[in-house]
Amino acid sequence: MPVFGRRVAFAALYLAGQLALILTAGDRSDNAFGFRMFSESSTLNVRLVRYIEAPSGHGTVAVPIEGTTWTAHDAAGVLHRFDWRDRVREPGLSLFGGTMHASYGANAQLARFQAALDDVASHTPFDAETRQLGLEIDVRKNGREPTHVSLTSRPRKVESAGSAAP
Amino acid sequence: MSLLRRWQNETGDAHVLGVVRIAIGGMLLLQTLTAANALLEQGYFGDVFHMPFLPEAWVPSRSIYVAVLAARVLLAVLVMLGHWAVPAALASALLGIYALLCDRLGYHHNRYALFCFAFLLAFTPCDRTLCIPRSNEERRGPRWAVRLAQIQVSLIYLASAGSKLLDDDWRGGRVILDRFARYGGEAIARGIPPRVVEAFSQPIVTSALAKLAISTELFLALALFSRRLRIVALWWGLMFHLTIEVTSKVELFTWLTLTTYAFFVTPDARARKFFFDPSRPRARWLARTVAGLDWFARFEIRPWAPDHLRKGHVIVIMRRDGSRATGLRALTMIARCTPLLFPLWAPLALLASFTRRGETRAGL
Repeated sequence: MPVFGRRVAFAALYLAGQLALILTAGDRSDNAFGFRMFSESSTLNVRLVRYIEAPSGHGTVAVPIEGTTWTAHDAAGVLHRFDWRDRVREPGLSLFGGTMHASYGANAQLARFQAALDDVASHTPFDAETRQLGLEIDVRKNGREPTHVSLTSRPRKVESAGSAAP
Repeated sequence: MSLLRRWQNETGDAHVLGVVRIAIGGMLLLQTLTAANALLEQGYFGDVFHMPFLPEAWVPSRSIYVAVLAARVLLAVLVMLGHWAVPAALASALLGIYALLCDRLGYHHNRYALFCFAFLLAFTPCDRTLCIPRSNEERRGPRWAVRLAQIQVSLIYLASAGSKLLDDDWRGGRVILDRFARYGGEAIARGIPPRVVEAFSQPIVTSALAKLAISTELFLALALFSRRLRIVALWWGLMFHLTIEVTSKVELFTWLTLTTYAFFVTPDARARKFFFDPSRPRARWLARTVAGLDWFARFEIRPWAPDHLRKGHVIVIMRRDGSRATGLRALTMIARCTPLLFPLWAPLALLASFTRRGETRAGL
């Protein structure tokens, strides 16, 4: 291909790629590659909970977690301490109990929290009590009245163990 | 068709591209050092929760990631020096985008934009000036990729303005209102008077500001391509981004955007002449100052021997068209052409518009 043809092909490909990424940015929770600057001014207030087997033996009950750490027994009855931040180092995903800014929008932050929940739930093998991890989130989008969102991790496979304080 | 042919054949002086290369190289270095610092302080992202765009198997191991960071540091330095700058800019861009794709938690628009511009820079003759060691290549070079970079600047503005325009909350000022409510204190801490912050936090004001922000981005996307409007657009854009820098945390975005404005600088060198009276200390000081600030090589700086016609002027500037300016108009020209003094251009131009003094057609 002559040099001019190559330049046209390169430019067409580059611009088509950029346009495609910009036009499809809405399909990605964080609008990545879409240059949607300051798209929202939303905040989240997040609390971490875990669901353990109800004392009645039927279903589960939610137990609030203070901060980012909780304790639970493993299948052998040994007590372990778990910290959300052992897996989630991103400051925007590990601040609980306070108001945090969702810099890439509420949807992006919720999607990230959901993925983080699943990740933490699948990386705490010595927790034989927690059936699911959850997040109770108050979302305030662009200064509106807050709406409540509950996120839960995928159910964990746990072996039976005694109950423990959160 | 002729436009397409002109685009492919266009050439220009590459001096400004050397300046852009140094700035983008510096930002690539800073960005990589920030990533290295995160590695040291928080550990390797791949060992903990991360969200790759790519399949997990494509995420590098810790040791490979360290090697990638080291390579990016080296490449950024090469870009700055202008030594193997073209392949270094290309590799920097590709490795940077790869790093973004490995963890979307580290994705930021300004980082992606930086890699886009580094990628495009690799197709420009950016390695012909301001290099160590000095380049022997012809200073003029093809500008087709510079035009692509200009379109990239415009696309960023269009994408940003378009998303705001289609969003009721943004158009109506609600997003800005909430940002002011939450970050007003930070602006005050940075030196903005509280009364100003309060005045700008009224719904009617934020609604007007939202429309102004959207109009500004649309204006910049188009006006940067107009010869008549470009200088106004560049100045307005500078003010727009400095305002964002003061009121928000945007990492390198302000400095990256201002750097990319250099893609719109007319590609010539020393096309204007700066004459000064070497017998006057003030003239010599001005000549040295302009020489130091003339990063885009706009001026050929020359002393002249004053005679009965030339006496009375400390400096005289000869524009591209041969017309001459002295006094306030000469200062306006200097501000127009030097990046650090450019914020002064509009006020000086406004002042100069009230007078015909300093405009001369007479020979020097």
